[in-house]
Amino acid sequence: MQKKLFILLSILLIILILLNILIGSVKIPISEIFKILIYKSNENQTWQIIIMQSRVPQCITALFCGASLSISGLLLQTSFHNPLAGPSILGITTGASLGVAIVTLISGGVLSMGTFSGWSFSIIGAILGAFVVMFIILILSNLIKNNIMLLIAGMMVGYVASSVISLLNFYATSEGVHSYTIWGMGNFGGVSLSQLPLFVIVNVIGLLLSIFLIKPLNAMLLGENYAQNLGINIKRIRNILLLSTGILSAIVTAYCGPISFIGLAVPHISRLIFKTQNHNIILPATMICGAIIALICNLLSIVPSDGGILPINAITPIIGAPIIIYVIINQRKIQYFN
Amino acid sequence: MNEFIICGKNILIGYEKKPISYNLLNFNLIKNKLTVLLGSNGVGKSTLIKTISQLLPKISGDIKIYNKNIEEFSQEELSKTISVVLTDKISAGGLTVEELVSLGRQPYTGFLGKLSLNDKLLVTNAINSVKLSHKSNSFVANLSDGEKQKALIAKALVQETEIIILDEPTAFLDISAKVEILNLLRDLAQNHNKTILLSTHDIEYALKIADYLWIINNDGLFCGQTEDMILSGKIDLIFNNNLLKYNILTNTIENKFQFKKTAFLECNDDIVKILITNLLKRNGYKILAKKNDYDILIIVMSNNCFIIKNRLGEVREIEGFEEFEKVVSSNI
Repeated sequence: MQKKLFILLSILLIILILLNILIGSVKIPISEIFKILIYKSNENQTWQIIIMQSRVPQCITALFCGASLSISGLLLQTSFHNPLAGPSILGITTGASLGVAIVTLISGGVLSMGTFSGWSFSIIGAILGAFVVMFIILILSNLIKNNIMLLIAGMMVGYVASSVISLLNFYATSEGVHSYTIWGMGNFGGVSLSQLPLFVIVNVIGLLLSIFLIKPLNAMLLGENYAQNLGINIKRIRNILLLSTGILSAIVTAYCGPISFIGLAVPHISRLIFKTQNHNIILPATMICGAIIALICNLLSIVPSDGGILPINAITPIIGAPIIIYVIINQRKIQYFN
Repeated sequence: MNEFIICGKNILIGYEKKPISYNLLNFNLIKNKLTVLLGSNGVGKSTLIKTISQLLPKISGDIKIYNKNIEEFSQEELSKTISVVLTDKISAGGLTVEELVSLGRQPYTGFLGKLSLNDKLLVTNAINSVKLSHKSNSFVANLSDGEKQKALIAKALVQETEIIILDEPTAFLDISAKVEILNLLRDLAQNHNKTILLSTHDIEYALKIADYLWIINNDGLFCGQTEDMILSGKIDLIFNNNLLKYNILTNTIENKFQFKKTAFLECNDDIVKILITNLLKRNGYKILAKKNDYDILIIVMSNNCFIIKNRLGEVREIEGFEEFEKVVSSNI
């Protein structure tokens, strides 16, 4: 049953990857696209540039963004025993945004994502910002035992970060504000072909770290005391978890902007599909589902088809919010909510 | 000679270096026996349980397992020596019973926790031995509280530890589930070489199944063989006020009523005698052992017909318990 689902989802993923490369605002014949993909060259230079410099990197970026955000959501939900935890709810993406804001706004837009020094500083800023927020959440989680209260505390941390961003915006130059605002709308097209290898490597490292967590995460479903009694080193696991979640949400946020709802909703989607909480199944399932959802969002973002692209953050809540509401309403029927 | 498996000397327990009380606790957990820890809320039952199972650091003192200091055990060794069943809320509703029980194999499995054929066999056997095999593919969320407790005990069983420590395994359970769980634990200690320590508030049941009792109160920890403890009146140490008393004859805990009057009872039927005694006690009558200086004399004719004679010698004949209570509760 679960094997069949994995095969089905993998086929869907491949179809979506192809669709993401085939469909775009510029119409290119399908046969030509395959020629470009196979021979890596084409008489039509523009088409080749569109495919190789824009659509392929964008597709790969979306794929990894979806997988990474979803995995960090899953890790947070299990470790905080809270089905509503996620990188955006707990303020981690806002922390990363603050890091980027400090870099782009203080430099007055000079250090925007377009330049090499710009994006390296932005990434460092995002990672630092995400880690600072995660450490605050971790400290708060030791002080606040109630899960709902912890979520609210996390949201408060996020609000504080946002208000600092607003202040920075207020004093920044209009170029800085402009480039920050564009980034903030969310965009899978922010990774160029030359930046792609680094982006992919960092994501793969974060995702591999999460595989180390499968066994301890299963034990943590019983709570920390039981996990400790089963031989799990809670402190070490928390650190790996912090590292993995921090890396994944920071790298994605730095390149693509603060993308909401994917991290929160996808773990629920995969639990609803696979009907289990067992991380041996749900962790790979969440990776695939995250990639699928992100590729769907990316396809939807080219709907205007007059050359414009919708911001990703205009699409993710439309998919994510109804799922969360469905989960909350049906919490009695959905066994994993207890 | 009984073998000690865990020895505690001069232990100070508490959270974050704040002792619950300044009593130094001493105890010996005896191998292959069932020990029950009794005590009222807030005196440190759970704290002691967590300290012994090394989930909470002790503030001072020595705990030794087989003469080896507990600190010298690696976490992995400990997870193969002591398994726990706690009161913590678990959020594993989306696991099947089989998956939940399999978690107990974690100390033995590899990187991804993949189960070997032997592991799977152990899991199936453990689920059978707690009589949950008909539910092994059900989600944990769909279990009753008693079944959830059984699943967690099965988890402890597959952990293959000599010692199983349970914190209030019978809390929130209905009476039949309570008895079932306690009988199961009794069987594990008696027939399967497990050393069991459990805490509970179900004193009367505990006394029936415990080999050893540990009683904790504000003055410290008192340990001993069950019958020794009962006979020396130590059971009353559980109660932190003077309203309760343990009755050896009936193995019940009785309310100490305020008696205002005295009564003498003449009755041949043991059952009716118990019922009438209880009725009189709650209405403020002390039951006299000798037939002199009574406020009222009661002669039970049958289980539905009573004769009451008061100090002044007035005699009344009464039918039924309801009428009887009306009369004894009024001033006669």
